[in-house]
Amino acid sequence: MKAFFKIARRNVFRNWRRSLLTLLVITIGLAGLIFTWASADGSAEQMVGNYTDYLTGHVQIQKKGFQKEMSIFLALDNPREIIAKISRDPEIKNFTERIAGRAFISLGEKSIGMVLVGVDPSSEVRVTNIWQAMIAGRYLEPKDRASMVLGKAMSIRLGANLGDKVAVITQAADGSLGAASYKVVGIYNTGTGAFEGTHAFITLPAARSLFALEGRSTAIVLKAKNWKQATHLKSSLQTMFDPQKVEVLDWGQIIPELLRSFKTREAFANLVLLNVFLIVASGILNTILMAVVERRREFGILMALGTRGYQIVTMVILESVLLGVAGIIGGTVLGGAVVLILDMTGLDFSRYAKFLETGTLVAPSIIYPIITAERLFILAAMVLMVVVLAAFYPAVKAAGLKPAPAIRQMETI
Amino acid sequence: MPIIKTENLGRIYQTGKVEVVALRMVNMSVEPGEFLAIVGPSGSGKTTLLNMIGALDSPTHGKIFFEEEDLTKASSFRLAEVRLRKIGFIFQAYNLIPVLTAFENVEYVMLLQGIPERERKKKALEALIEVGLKTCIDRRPGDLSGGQQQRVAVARAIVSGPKIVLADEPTANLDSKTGAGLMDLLLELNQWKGITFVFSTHDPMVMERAKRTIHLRDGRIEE
Repeated sequence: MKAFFKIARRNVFRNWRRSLLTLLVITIGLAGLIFTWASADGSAEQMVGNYTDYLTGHVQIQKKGFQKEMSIFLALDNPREIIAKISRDPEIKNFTERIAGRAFISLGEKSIGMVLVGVDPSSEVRVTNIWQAMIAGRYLEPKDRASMVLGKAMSIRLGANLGDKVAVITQAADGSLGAASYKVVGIYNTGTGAFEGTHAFITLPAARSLFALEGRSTAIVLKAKNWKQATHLKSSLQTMFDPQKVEVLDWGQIIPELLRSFKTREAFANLVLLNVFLIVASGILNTILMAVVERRREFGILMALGTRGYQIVTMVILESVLLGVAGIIGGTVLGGAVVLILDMTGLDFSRYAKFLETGTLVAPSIIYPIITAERLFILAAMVLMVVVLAAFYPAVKAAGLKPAPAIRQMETI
Repeated sequence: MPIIKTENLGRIYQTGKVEVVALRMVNMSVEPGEFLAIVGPSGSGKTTLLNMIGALDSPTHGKIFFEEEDLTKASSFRLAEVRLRKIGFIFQAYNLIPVLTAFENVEYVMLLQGIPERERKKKALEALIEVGLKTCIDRRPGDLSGGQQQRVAVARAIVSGPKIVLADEPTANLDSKTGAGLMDLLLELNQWKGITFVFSTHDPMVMERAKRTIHLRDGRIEE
């Protein structure tokens, strides 16, 4: 084996042009695969992140039926008890309490229906990041009792500006009519018209007062340490509560259209990845096949000296593995560097932004690719497998040659 | 017992739709210790015959016996074994392994045979000294002259004590002086070490040194 390794190594360096070509095909191919997967992952994560980070969080705990009805009569009775139970879960990064209810908002003669969300500003900022999307004024502060933050689209529809007083009317949980007026202290812009046009925020105490929900809330919103573990977190939390009373929902259940879009994009990304992989694999196969076919005379000589077929196969595969490993190192470095740079600069698709918006969902217009060690390992293993398979076929064919015709190059592989 | 015996050996090459008969009904044998030349003009079938008896190619009809073993019935694995253990080859174009040094080329066959490193190195050095190559043994074939390369090929062919060495026009690529020197070396090895040699050639200098010659014309042995 040592001798075959030596021959394989020297052969790689002897035919340096051919080796360089093979190396480039593997390196660029793997870098392309890394970039494709990282972009798909980055895009998916951002799309999910846009929604979960602005509004829904990764997991929500609600009273059973609230998700479907969004009725103020389905508020959690004992949110503090629930928080006490979940607060030590290691998968939870942060959590916050909320009240969300339907209401009418009016300014002057204009009046529109909306979703009014009462948030605890001090804990909300650790779960969602609407506060980072302010384009005018400021975000809510814990002491605020009559302040409101609304979306850019809603402010335009209402003709509301900073400092304006808007009136809100809603059904309160005690059966009375809840009414209050709020001063617009901030306007946010998330880039998603449908969301901005329907959601306004006040503080949790103000919402409790408006909806007559003292000490209660409609949801406990959780941010998981890893958004991909949201479904797992949901399942583990659900076991703590009576499913007939309390419902634990992940982001896919809270916004089903986001999950559908995510799945569609994931399937499409996998298809693209498969195509790129097939192109890369055929490139590698072609180069290695040509390299082996070119050298049938050499194999004829080796066989004439008594080298067995399996030893020829070993030699060819070793040579390809050497090139493969070098290409994988090169490809990982190149692909990793491209992903790292684009992770800082972003990949700008903003000119296609209009085409990226579908219904209430919007795909990110600037993609920040992300890659994990696990993904890199999978891609490296797949490329190495292709290299070995690509070498295996011509190697077996080479091993089946008759030495004399091979030496005289009369037989082809 | 002859080392090699052929019975009605024939080889037809198919080139597209054209059939080329390279060997027809060849019956011959090689006895131990022979220094035999297969002679004939180009295209007479010398190399084809040598390839057949060296288990490098298989006949389309007839039989080849190597020490009474019918090679036409042997598997490719067994043929590789026969080539490795019993036959040494010297080719017209030297056919050394380009990535190995002269020393490593000689060592290679013994490596395939599983000979321990120490013994391998000793024998390789002895074989190279025997063919007159004390220096340049660490050079690769590309850095050696034609004559030196052919001496390395001779050392490689004899190093593991084969039953027979087959040489396909061994002097064809060498100048006459180098060619004569090489033939004298082979003759010496035949005389002193009893190695059996079979050559294909159309070089009169080689024919002169042969103890027996077989003449081939159009794939047939001329009586």
